[in-house]
Amino acid sequence: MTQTNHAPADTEQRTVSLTIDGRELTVPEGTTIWQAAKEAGIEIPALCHDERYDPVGVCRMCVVDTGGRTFPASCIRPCESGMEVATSTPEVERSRAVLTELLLADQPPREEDPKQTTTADNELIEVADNYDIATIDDLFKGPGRGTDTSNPVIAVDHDSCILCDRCVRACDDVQGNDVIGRSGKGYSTRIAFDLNDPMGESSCVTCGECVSACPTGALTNKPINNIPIRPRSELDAVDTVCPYCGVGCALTYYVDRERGGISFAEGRNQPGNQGRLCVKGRYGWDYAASPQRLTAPLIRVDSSYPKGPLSADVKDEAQQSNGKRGRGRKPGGLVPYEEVLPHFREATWDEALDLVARRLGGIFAESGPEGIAGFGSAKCSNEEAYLFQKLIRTAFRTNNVDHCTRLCHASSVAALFEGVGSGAVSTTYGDITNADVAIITGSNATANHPVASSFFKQARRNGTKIIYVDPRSGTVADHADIFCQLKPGTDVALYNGIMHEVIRLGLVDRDFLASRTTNYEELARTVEAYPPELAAQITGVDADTIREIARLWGEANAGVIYWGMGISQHTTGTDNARCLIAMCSITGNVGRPGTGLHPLRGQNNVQGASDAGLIPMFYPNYQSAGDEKARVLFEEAWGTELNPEKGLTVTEIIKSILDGGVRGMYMLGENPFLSDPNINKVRKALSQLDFLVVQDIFLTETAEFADVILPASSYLEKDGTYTNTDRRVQRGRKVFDPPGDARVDWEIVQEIAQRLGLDWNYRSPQEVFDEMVPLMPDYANLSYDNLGSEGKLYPNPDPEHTDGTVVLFDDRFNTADGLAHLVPAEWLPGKELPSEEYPYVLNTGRLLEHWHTGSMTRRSFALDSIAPRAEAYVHPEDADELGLKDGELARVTSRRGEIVLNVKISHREARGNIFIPFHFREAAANLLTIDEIDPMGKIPEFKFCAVRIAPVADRVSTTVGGSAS
Amino acid sequence: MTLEAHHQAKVPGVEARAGKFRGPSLIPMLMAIQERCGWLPREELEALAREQRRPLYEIEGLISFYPHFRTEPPQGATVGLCHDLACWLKGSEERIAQLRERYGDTGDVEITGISCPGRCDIAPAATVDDRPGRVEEIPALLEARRGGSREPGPTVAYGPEGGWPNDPYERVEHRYGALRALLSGEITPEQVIDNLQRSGLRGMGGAGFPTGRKWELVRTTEGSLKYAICNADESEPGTFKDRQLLAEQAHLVLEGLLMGMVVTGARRGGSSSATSTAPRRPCCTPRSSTCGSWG
Repeated sequence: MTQTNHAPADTEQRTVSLTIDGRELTVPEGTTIWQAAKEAGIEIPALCHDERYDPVGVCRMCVVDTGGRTFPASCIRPCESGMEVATSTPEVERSRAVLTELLLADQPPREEDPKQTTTADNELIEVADNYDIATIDDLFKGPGRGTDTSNPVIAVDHDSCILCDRCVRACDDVQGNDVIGRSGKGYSTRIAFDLNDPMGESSCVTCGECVSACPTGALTNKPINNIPIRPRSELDAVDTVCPYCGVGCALTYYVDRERGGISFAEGRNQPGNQGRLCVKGRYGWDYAASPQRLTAPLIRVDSSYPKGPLSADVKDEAQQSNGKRGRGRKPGGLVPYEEVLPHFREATWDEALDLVARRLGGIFAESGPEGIAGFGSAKCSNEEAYLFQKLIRTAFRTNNVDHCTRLCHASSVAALFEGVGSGAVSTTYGDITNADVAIITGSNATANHPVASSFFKQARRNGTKIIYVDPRSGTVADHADIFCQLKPGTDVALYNGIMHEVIRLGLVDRDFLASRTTNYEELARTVEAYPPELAAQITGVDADTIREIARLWGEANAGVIYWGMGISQHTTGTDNARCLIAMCSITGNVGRPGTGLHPLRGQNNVQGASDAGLIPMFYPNYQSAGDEKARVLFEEAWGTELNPEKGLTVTEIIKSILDGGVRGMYMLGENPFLSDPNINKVRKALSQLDFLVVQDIFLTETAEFADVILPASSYLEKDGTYTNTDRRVQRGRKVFDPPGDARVDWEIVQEIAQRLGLDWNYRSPQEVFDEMVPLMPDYANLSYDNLGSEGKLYPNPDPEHTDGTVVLFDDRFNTADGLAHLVPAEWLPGKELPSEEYPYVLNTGRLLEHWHTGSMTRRSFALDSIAPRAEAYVHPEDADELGLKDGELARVTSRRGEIVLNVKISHREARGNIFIPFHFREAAANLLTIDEIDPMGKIPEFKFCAVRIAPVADRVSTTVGGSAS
Repeated sequence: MTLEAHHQAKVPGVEARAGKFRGPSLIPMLMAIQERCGWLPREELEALAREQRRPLYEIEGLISFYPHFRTEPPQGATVGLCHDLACWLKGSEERIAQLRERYGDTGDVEITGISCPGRCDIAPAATVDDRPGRVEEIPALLEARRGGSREPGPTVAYGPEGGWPNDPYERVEHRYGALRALLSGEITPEQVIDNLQRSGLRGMGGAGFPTGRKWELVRTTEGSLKYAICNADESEPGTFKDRQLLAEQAHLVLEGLLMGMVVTGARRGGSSSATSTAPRRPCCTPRSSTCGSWG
């Protein structure tokens, strides 16, 4: 197994010897004087230089005396043999002092400096203090260059800017967003966003990397929720992990204990994210402080039976009392508490928990295991996922337990299990740096895995060729060597066409095929029928591009594939993933650095929740629920009899409710009303449940159907471990106590378990983790103590000393015979093709700023301010043809429902396609989607259904959309 | 769409500054938009960024640097008067004030101060919709513009009767004689260097570096690829010569550049002209064809 990122074998490294301040040093050739001095313990002051970025040598603060005609900037001057460097002569110091004075002359007074008055770490002021420069009054002060407060969370003060270029490099070289440059020349030069636009109106994605780069007060964070930004030393630093996506960035919250809030967040160094964050991680944490948090258990009042939806948006048209949808209601994106809360009364924990246990226990007694099901959540910790599935499996003897992995990568996991015997990624996102070619497909990574995408973009700048395959021209396309804009739902045809050509060119890895795979002949027979011309006809990609991709991929020494929901959320999702596995296998691109298969995980803990057994077909660590040996193992471990029957999946559970099977449900942190396909069907099912307990932090659409609502803890209020897309297990740490009477989730699960007669007495998440590890061979050797501050990758033979395994399958696959099983796939069209009546293909997905059903992000000031409303993305020519105007309203209709939302004209769509994000309840995309599923992964086809779209003439845009307030 | 990506050795201080975004120069494309639209409308710039896959900020850097580029639609004709050093010494400031007074109320003429259009010979230099001319010619140029004329201004020839005294070639067909001699082996690179050193020729950019010594240094320096660059940027304050040299004696400049390349072993050569002013096309393009046969 490969333990770490590999470095190319060093050819003989030449060195140079020199003296710095009289000390003799020998350093590798190419080392800069600044770096050599630093390593020798000599600090040279610098403003424009920061080791995170390539040096540019513009501020001249780091100049040194090398005996030459002028003082060179040490940050860019390489050491030379025999060089004699003096870093601090009186002349050099005088030069620095004068420079400092000149820079300081234009700065705002320090009592008004945006940085000095907040985090108090203005690097220019620090240098000035070292030179005893206080105020400058004998220098001409230029005309002010202005401020820019258009971004909701970042303030720009051009007068504080010293044009050091750090923000430019942070934006380009680190995050790859390419937004910041310079405008003008001479004295009036200033940093500029795009075409010198206000920051808040530019293409800036508010990742905040520029703020973390800025040495002065030019770019600073604005306070959120009126919690002032203060020096780090006055705040409590909590090292934890971002609660949003599967990238799992390590971060630190700086907490103001006096005011009981987070002051600001910063990226933390960890081998994956390396200190980077995106807008959600850096600015999107204030949802937990929302006044709408649930703080007491709620029980539905008798008069609100029979059950049904309570708010206008959740009711269907027939249920609207005033006949017309949404009329007279305040526009907005969240469940209207004033409409829903009167249907519930507050209760004590004992009353609520007793009721839950009595009702679920009663249904189990009447209907047996088939009557009960549970949805856990990929937002909760490994420990909570483990306890939840253990509760459902032991108390109710059923495997009807699932979570939203069903809606994201279930098909990928199915194909991976079949093909390579493991659902986890075979290499990390950061390993792209070792790849010659990377295929990124069905993944709008810049929006959905922003920090991982920054490494993809960076790899390309360092020479990795990026092939981006997607029907939408996401921003990754801007950074691709080849952008392959295929028609939606034609992935199998494309990859079969590529493999056809790889085989024809003789670029397959025969040794790998012979020693590491089975069934190649059948695969070859199938793809034989897909010459590039045919693939071109199906996919709309021209045959030459297909040939070019085949050649690049076939000739690459190391190739890796990253994919997202565009692969998995199809009725052919499993086939799509099978093709990707075959792509890697026939070229030997698995098991070495820079090669492999990586389904980019959506939720922060979707990997961990699946690992912990929150899926109907597997016990923890993917031990099959249908396998007797596994069952016996867990029966012994848990001291009870288990059900040998496989359980139902998310979509099957909804169907089972309608068929009278499942009658009672426990939903922990899931909101299927918005997240599942065909909402009208979900509504019917939820109304029909005999008993539903919802455990969440806010009133969700799903909670409107609940008999009991249990107020739970947000991510920020509990300890636990989370496993990211790389298989990195990290500790999340408690920042605050839960509000009011809300309790942490694992305790609530335990309370219910105890009331159902289970003998559970866990005292902490750590105890749960210690119970899990012996049952989960992949997690072997891991413990709370050795996870440390950076977490550890699994498998990890020695977590005390190593970060863990980056590359899996270097000598065998996880299958029983150790070989990769190639499974050929024939192309099948989407289930609901465009027709005359519904001529457009609807694609759904996420926005950078929002998370799933929006219950967190729409309560975040930053995220809701940046992306407040639902929009349908339409190609400009389609919009022209249909008379749709940017910002005006359109009605989108499918065979299952219709929604009204704003039009966004977007060059990133292909003609004939509409994209709608699914976060917005007031225009819920899943009213339109089809609940057809992949036969193997049981994942719904979120990425393909037929719709029509037309302008809505009678309303103007300002009457829908809205904010959290 | 395919772009060539290649591994490049990192040079400290370089990769973060210039050439960060691969691809052709955006300047000719911006010029084309301005020629077509009369200015640079936002939608055009956004489309350019999209098509060329270059960041908007790169475009902003260019259009905010060169006063030539307009980000607002012109109101009638634009009269520019150079406010750089040579023209300022010749009183351009007062001239601008006078012009403003004269045309201020008409509404269809806009008066702006501009950076050097490369016509210090007629200082203070004026332009009417980018066509250069003397201040006195402005009314006539405005009139010609109203008549629809878009002729670029003529380059004034200043050469004395019988040619400039520095030109050793009396007849056109004799030009490039020294280069021919060098290429045929009649004279050696060492002889060229020796001649240059004995002549005492020095660079006039400020450092006064001996030219013969420079050529010798470059010739003897190891390197897989050498470049010869002719700076015709007209950037020495208060002087005006490069444009005239290129307009009237381009053959001497080219011959010198090519001989420098032969002597130093440079395989690529180029010339920069007036980048600090307006991004304009070289004024000598047609004449350089006389030496085209040497490539």
